[in-house]
Amino acid sequence: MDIHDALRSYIINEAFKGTVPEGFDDDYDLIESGAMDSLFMMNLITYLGQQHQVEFGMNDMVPKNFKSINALSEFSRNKLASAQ
Amino acid sequence: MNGIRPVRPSSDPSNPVVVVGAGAAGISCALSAAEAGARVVLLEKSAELGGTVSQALIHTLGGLFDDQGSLLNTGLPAELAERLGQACSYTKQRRIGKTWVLDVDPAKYANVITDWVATTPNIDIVFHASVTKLSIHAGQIGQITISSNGNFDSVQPAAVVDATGDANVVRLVDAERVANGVALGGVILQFRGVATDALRFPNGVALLMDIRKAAETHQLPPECLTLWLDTGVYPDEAYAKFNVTPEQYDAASMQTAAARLLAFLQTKPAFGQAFINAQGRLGIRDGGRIKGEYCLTEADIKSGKQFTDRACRACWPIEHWHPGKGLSLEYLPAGSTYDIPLRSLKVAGFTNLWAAGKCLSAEPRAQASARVVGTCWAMGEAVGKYLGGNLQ
Repeated sequence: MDIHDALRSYIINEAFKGTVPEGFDDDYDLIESGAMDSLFMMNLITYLGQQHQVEFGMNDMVPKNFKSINALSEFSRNKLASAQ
Repeated sequence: MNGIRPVRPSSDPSNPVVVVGAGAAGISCALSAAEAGARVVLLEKSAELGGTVSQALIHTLGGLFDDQGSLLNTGLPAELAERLGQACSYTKQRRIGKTWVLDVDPAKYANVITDWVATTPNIDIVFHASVTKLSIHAGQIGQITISSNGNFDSVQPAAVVDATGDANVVRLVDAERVANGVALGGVILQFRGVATDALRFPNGVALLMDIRKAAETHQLPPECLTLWLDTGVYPDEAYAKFNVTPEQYDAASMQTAAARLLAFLQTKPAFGQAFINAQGRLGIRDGGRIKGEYCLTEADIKSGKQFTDRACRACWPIEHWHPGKGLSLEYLPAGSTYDIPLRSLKVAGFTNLWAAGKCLSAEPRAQASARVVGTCWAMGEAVGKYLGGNLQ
């Protein structure tokens, strides 16, 4: 599964328990909506590291990387590309 | 403590409502019963009022607001928020994830409630107090014996409210009527001298990941594996929370862990000048739940159940600190609130024995939502109001 689809599936299942709010799409603001709280963010980082080998550095922990599914996908793809 | 009169339980002809425990639920129960006209005897095991908030250093009060940030319950919880705001300009409402909390200075909280109780008539407080004996006849508490500083006194109560957080009074009556707690406890450190915004989201997550990595590689003690960090009330303040199994809590090893954590943090620029300003006592999240006339279930809270005997409303997520699995946070559906019925605060089989606060009658995961401070205030108020009104 493409990392974008994997992230989408993970976020829908873990942050929204399978039921997304009205207006949800890949640009849905996860921080503004409250879905991206500290605990979820930590779990997401662990998931990306263990399942997709996306490693976050200290400088990567900025809101723009966690803002939406698209932002997370782009960050993850860039990380994976630079690691190769 | 100015304004607090010594207890004279046997000098007043009316039977008092005896509230055991001066934490969130106990204080609000005492205030509301007294305001409703009852005479109240408030027993506290320590030398101060405030319970877990002031003694375990809880600086984020959950359960006061719904998921839109509006007050969930009117009455004493709302008045508490107002008084805390008046007492300290740094008191503020803050959004965390999908919830709202009130950030408070635990020391200011203690001052506010101490003044509040002192200026409310009809409340007698006994410090260093515990209930040592209860006489029961036909499902009614007839007389209780109170111990304080080596002295014993007897009171014939109109009603007894167990607001100990551990259901200690109900255990004394019948240990079979208490389900033992199943949640990790917390030990909180209050740091000052921290750079402004050091833990502002998501900076705190980055530091937390760093701390956990250090714990995994034994640079930090294992207590740091489940550590939690949060911003403080003041700009230079931060909090760290250790999560421990209450039965295995060891104060000495916690001191060591705290010192090592501080040394680690001081290597970070934002914590270079940080120091530990205070360390809370062990905070118990689930010290045991009574078996009441109704047991609040996880299904009740997830379905937003309403009851005709509603004590209060609640909507905090299921924040369960499982001893084996660690923290899980499950939000309730958006916009959803549920009721806590009065029957879950009344001990089954007794006419005048109640419980309020963390030791309500509930399933563990329901208690993991209902146990927060604002909800405890609302539960205590409901019981006090009921008793005060029915004793007139």
